[in-house]
Amino acid sequence: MKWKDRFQFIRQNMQKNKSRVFMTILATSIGCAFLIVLASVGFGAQRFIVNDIMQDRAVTEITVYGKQTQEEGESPEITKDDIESFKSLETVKAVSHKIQLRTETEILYDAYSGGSTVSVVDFQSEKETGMKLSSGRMPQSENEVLIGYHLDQLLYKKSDEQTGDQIFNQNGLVKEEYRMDEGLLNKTVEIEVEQYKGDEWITETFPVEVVGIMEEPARDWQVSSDIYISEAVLTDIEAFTETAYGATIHPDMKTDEVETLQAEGKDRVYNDVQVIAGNMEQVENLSQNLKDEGYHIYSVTEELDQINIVFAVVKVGLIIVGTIALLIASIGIYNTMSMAVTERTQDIGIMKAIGGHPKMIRSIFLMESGYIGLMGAFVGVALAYLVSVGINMLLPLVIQQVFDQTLEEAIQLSYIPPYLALVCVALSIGVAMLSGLKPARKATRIDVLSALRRDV
Amino acid sequence: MIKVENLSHSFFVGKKNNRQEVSVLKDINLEVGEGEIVTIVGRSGSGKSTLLNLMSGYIKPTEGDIFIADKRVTDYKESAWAEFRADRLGFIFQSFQLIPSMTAYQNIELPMVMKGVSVKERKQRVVEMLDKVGLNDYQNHYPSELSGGQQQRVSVARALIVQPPIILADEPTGSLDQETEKELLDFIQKLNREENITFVIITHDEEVARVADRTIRLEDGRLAADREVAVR
Repeated sequence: MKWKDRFQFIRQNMQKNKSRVFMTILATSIGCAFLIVLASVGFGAQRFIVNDIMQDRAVTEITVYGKQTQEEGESPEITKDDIESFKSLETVKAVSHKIQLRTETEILYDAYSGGSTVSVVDFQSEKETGMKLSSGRMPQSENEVLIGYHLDQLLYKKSDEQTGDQIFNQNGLVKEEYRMDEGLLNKTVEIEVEQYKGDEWITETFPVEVVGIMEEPARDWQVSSDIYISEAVLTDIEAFTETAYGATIHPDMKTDEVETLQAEGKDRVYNDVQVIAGNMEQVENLSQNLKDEGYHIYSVTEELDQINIVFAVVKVGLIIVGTIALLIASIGIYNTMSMAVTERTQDIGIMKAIGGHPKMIRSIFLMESGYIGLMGAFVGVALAYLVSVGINMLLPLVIQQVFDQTLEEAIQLSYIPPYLALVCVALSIGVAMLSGLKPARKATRIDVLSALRRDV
Repeated sequence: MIKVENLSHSFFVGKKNNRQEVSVLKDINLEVGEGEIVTIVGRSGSGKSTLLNLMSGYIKPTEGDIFIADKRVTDYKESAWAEFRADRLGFIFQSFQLIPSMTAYQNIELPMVMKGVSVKERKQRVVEMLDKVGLNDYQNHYPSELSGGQQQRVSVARALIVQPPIILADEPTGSLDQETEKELLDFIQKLNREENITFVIITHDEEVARVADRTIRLEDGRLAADREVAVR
């Protein structure tokens, strides 16, 4: 029997009892929709959390904190040799590294001033890692610097009349009325460093030219107040402070402590070292290599792996619960198919009597139950998408009503990836066909003579 | 064409502890030649329907062998019987056995649908067959909308549509009036003459027996007589 004829046959048969078939399809679609919506909550929550993690981190980024020391006297910090060895790895695209100034600095511009964190970076490396600027360009000469997105909003005119509460707003930025009127791009600012020399505090300023402003941080609450300087500026600062990394000497320090500060820095050590892999697939291997070599690292993929494992378990649990609904629907399909076989006993008997093959008869009933599953799945998927959209639309309203809070960003609690819909369609058809298996077998075993005599 | 050797068949009645064997056919030997019309007659309970059911493969014999078209079909499994029936046998039943939810056209077409014949060929053959049995105007009628004679013609058309060499008929005129019966018998004779189709017909109607080449009489499950009919 040709497939086209089988489908025709099934359609004809199903039309004989439309309401029963409709109710069975409805039950299947509700089961299927329930399964999808339940699983979609798992997918939605996972997506929300993963996006949250990924928001301000590159997936290919591996942070190196330090290394295990194997020999006595070996530094646990990352040195230039380590950086070079990272760069020599085949899967490494770039290595970003910073040296933070070990002193408190003030940034001065005109009559304005404010605190900042000064770091030395290799601009070429930063360029390779894909550092983005909101305006300006990357520094090219020694006294050119990059500044954080919010630095100009942290400078204010100092006076005795105002306290910190009056000047800064709740985000830690200077209130608009005290801010500078202009930005700092292409302006010369001064980095003010203090050092205790002899018996007094001496202040020195280092003029630098702002050529670029860094990108706005991903999160609203983050304040970007850094200044990225070149190594040459650090050398100037070190020359003034007479200590490594511009470290501040305090009057109460002992002589040996001061000597240590002065002796450090011959071999530069780096903090905030980021190794950037060529692509996401290489991160896992690269992380493992670095771990094997004794480096303490962190990569977002490791965190994601753990989150994905947790959510995989959650999703399997939700799918199992959802499948129960589908199994309940399958009882309906079994019932419908059993009724259909009983009602069509005579027809089956006639077909067998004139040469109908048992396999063909079985396939017709299996296809019929599969068809119910398919229709149920289609309606179920459509229903699930509607419910999902509804949940996502209602959630902010519910949160607003119950907690009296508005969400900063839209939360998609329910997310249906296309493959979830496809898996549920397959599951629905599979469960439906399994339910139809026994009635289909019963159909093939119908005794011809009993059926023709209408004894069954 | 059909050969039956030492065929015996018994039914078992009663429950497990009290099962009794009822012998229906005892040691039957017969042959039906190609192109013959053979009627099997006998009283009710003589075993004639059982013999036809054994030849159709609806039941398996207790003993003996059945050969159809030189093939030993005795041990055929259900699927092998299904294929054999679809290719070689046509069936006409006393109560027509048409599928009520199908039109006359669809009932006639059914054996070809099950065999996987193309739509184009099916259409051509069903139209020809409808013409042959004179039911052109009734092709879209359901069995319940047809007279007994018309339903039997649909049944005959369905039996003939796959052009089987053998037709097994169980009391084909049992539900027909005299005039329709005559029409059907004429048609059977015509098919036999023109298309050399072999007919095995179960009947207790003397009129039917008269169109046969041979009549086999069964009595209490035994072959009582096998004689040629002098004049057809």
